[in-house]
Amino acid sequence: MSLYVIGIGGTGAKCIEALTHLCAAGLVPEEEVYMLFVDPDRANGSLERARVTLQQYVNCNKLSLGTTPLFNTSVTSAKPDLWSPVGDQTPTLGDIFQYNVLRRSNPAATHLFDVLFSQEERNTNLDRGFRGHPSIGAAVMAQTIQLGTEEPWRTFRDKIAIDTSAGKEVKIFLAGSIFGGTGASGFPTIARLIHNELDAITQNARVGGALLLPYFSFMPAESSGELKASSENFMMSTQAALKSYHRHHGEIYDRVYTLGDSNLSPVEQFSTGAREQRNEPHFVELYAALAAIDFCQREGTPRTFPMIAREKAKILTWNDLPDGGTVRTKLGQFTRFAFAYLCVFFGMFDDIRVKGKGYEAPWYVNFFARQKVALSNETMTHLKEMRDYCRSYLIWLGNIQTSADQTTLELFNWGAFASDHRPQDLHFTPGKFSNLVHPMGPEDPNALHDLWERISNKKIHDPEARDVGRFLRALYDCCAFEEVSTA
Amino acid sequence: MKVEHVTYMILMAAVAALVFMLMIFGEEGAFLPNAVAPAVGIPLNAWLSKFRLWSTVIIGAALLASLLWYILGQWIFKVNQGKDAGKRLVWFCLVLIPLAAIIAGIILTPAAQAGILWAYLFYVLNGLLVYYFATALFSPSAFKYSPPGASKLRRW
Repeated sequence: MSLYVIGIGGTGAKCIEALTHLCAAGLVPEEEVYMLFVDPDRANGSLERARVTLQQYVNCNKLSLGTTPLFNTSVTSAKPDLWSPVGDQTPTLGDIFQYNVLRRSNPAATHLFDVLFSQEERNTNLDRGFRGHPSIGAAVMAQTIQLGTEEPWRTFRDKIAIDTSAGKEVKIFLAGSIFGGTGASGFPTIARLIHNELDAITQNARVGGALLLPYFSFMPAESSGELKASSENFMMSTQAALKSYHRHHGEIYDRVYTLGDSNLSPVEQFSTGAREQRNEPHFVELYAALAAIDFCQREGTPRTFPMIAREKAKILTWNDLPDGGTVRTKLGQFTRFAFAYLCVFFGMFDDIRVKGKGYEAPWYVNFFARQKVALSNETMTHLKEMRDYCRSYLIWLGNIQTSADQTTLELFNWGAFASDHRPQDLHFTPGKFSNLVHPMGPEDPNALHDLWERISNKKIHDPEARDVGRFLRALYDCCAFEEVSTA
Repeated sequence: MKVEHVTYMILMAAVAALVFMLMIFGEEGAFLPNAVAPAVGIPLNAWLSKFRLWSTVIIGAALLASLLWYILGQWIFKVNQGKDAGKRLVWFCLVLIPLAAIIAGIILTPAAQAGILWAYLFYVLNGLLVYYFATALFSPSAFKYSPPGASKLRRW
């Protein structure tokens, strides 16, 4: 089975970021995931972060780790990975519909256009997205998207055709917010276009989506008079959009997950778009990524409406996540791996390279010196790629943990790897390694030493695990909860 | 205490026992009686029993140093960060225990007219072989390649 994921707008990109991390932790059962971003705001900070994370994943995915859940899923990003409904230009809505030409050639259509869109909407530059106005986005997307002829859609369509002709079941998952501009307009529009296109080539494809209801709010910046999203309208926009989707687009999706949080988390820095629009990850996006996994696991179920809610309004625990036990095990193991790699192991390579004291690290002797894997520039590049991914992951995790100011997340003990109140500043407390994952038990200050011992004796018999991948695989295996409990 | 630790410490003692047997049957029993001429007034048997005494002390000291290395590496030193790894300096410091016994043995062994250097050589070999092989083969996992050359000898 293949999964095609389309992240629409900034929120959609953040959902892809979350799904990428779940792929790294081995939670995504699909062997192949194809990802595509849709956003007119190419410089959007959230989008940029997600693209970097995805590239880091692809780099790590190339390492020979053998048969393991770690980076197991083959993730391919579309080429180009980002499709912008407004192309490389910075047009206005009027430009796209050639308003001035239309005024001369078809005055009636121009009058209709004037009724539907105000002058401000017609003349606002769309390089920063649709400014919370889905009516603009829907019009632009319906006008510009060319599934059969334009990249990356042509490849997207062709890949689906190849997969279905090979007898594979294809699942397409879209993620976006309902309360903004790009997501709210793209979610039904793109899905409808795909649906219509697929009807012509296959009956073996299913379309699902995560529709994110309001989960954050912001104080608008000083009024500059420009068109922008406004969080006080989120609920109204959501209500109107949901009604519209229900009436006009209900038959497109095989399964839709609507997700939100009643406690809106305040975003400190509001921006209309571009690099400054870098909203930190939120736990709702983790739910959206888990929804994508759930969608993959459903086989041919008729249209259903899944529902999930928290046990306690102010606390989120593993039991509140779908299949929370598995998620805890895999994310927990991956978190332990990332923590240990950054806190202890990665730092030793430079030391060994410079001082040549490989004997200090038995695992280095076993996985590098004896296997004739030199710490060459190429090897160091691979090790640094894993370092970069682990950093991104832990920062993401720390942000998830602190994303809701009115909800306590009892998932990870993020203070173990981040400085107080600043998840983006990684700062490790080795003594807390044993208690990274909730529920926490008595602290074992020497848990990292125990890990060091285990990996010093670890043997990997998987012939597909090679070079740097062999060591990383051993470290990951040693971070499993079972290994810890039996050690 | 885990079975693995007990086993490793017993194996360290086994290395010492092996060298002890070599000393009794090879050095004292076969080689030295033909190679050493004790000083006037000291019977050969009395001289050999002193050699055995000091060899035993040296082997015991080397075993003690090996066990101390194991105890330190397994229960005292903890590698919770990269900078805590290795401890080769500590390993070298512990060599001083058998070395001290060797020096004491050299000083306190009765004089001989000929062949005493053989006795000194055996003291050094007995002490260092026990310490080296016991630690190179059976160090705690976290420091198993700290003894020089251990990574070539140990494959488990």
